Amino acid sequence: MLEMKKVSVSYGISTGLKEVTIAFQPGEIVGIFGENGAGKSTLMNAILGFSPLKEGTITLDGRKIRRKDLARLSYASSEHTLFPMLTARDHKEFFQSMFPRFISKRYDFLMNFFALPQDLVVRSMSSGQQNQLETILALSQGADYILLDEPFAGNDIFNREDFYKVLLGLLEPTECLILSTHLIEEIKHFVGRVVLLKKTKVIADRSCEWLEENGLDLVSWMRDAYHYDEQRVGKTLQAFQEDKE
Amino acid sequence: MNIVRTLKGRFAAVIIGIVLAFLSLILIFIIYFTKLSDAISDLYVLDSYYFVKVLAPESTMPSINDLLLQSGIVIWMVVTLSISTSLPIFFILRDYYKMNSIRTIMRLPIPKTFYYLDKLLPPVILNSVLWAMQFVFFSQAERVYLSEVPDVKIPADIPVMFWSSAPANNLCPIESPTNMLVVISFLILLPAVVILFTLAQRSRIRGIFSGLVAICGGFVALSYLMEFPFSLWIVPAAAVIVIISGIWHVNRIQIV
Repeated sequence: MLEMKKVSVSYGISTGLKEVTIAFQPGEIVGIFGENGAGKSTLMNAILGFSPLKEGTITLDGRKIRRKDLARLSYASSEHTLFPMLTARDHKEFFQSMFPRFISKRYDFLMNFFALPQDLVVRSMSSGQQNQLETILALSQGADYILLDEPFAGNDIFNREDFYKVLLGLLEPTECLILSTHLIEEIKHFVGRVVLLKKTKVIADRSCEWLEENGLDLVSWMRDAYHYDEQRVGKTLQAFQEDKE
Repeated sequence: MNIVRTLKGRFAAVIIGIVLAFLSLILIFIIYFTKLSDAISDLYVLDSYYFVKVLAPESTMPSINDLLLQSGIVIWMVVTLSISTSLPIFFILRDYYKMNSIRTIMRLPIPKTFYYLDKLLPPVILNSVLWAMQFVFFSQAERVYLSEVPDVKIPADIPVMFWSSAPANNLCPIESPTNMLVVISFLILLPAVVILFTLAQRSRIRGIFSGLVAICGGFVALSYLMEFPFSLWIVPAAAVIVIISGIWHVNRIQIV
């Protein structure tokens, strides 16, 4: 189990996360949602040790995350974190040498699925292709907890939707996928649990079963949780028109 | 794993650096040789009776050190060392800006010290090659001087004094093995300071301690260059402290 207990992160005077307590179980597919700046990326950064903790602890199976545990966590983001001078094939070899549990078959399968070039250096790939490769490597690393932070920011809708369908068939029952995205509609049938962040705090954490049992739709539940003002657009346009007149 | 391709950038930078340094050093040697030839020809005067050039009794030969300084070898050493020492800044910042690959590097299940060594070794290798080049340059300059200048015009103390006076004694203190250790430390200290300062800058407020250590290390390096009167052992000590701080920084302080 990957567990965060009362984790706070700050960047100078601004807060990145505030007393976040959350646990991820093997086999879960968790969607992390929230507005811009809510703390979705910071949450992942904190787990991976990229952001220093101001308070709290993060444990993996009850122990603090050590260097060798890093192989059990994989990560992909839309920030292009691969090596620009290496090809996809080089990356595969590199990941294989670094992560003994690398799943070669899954890598090959996903490379074929996205039709990615094996021998093109990463810097020559399009932004969308780089995101795809990064996601493929994260999924193939053989990690127990796969963290995807806006993995398909540069991809078209067909690639995204098909990928989620393929992914459901690929994941092992013990693998935990933690996915941060703004594209709620696209993944609402894919995730099993939803964590909602607002202004650096967790404001809701529900399973999709719970939502179903209570007859709630994910998007409308999120709007309620966020106290979304449905009149916002109307009010703005009205104010704009009045100002114009 | 195609390790060569991964390290290609560093290899290329070191090789290009060596080639450029070598070419510029040849140019400096040509300048030195020209100045030496001019100085030698100034030793002679035309005998009006026999119409041949003869050594003027009152003429004096400039010392080899003067000719070396005029040739620009010290400037060459300063410029090449500065460029070589700055290499890690480029390599570290590339991990952040060109692609954010620092995020992949820092989540590898290997000691982060490798990252530090990966940045430290190329400039240390380049600095060592540069030092070897200027040592060969000094040796050849001395050999040419002693062979070309007429024996009677060679200043009496040149063979003794050359390796024990500036600039040769600062850059190549081969007469004193202890001082050689100081030079080696100096060549390592320079890039170590630059790396530590760059990493400290990336860590912002958490990098204050490392930044201070780097500044102190830089001051020691500068003091050595300016020949400030203090124990030379402070240079190896500073190199060790700065390297340990750098390794501590990449392992303990957030640099992502």
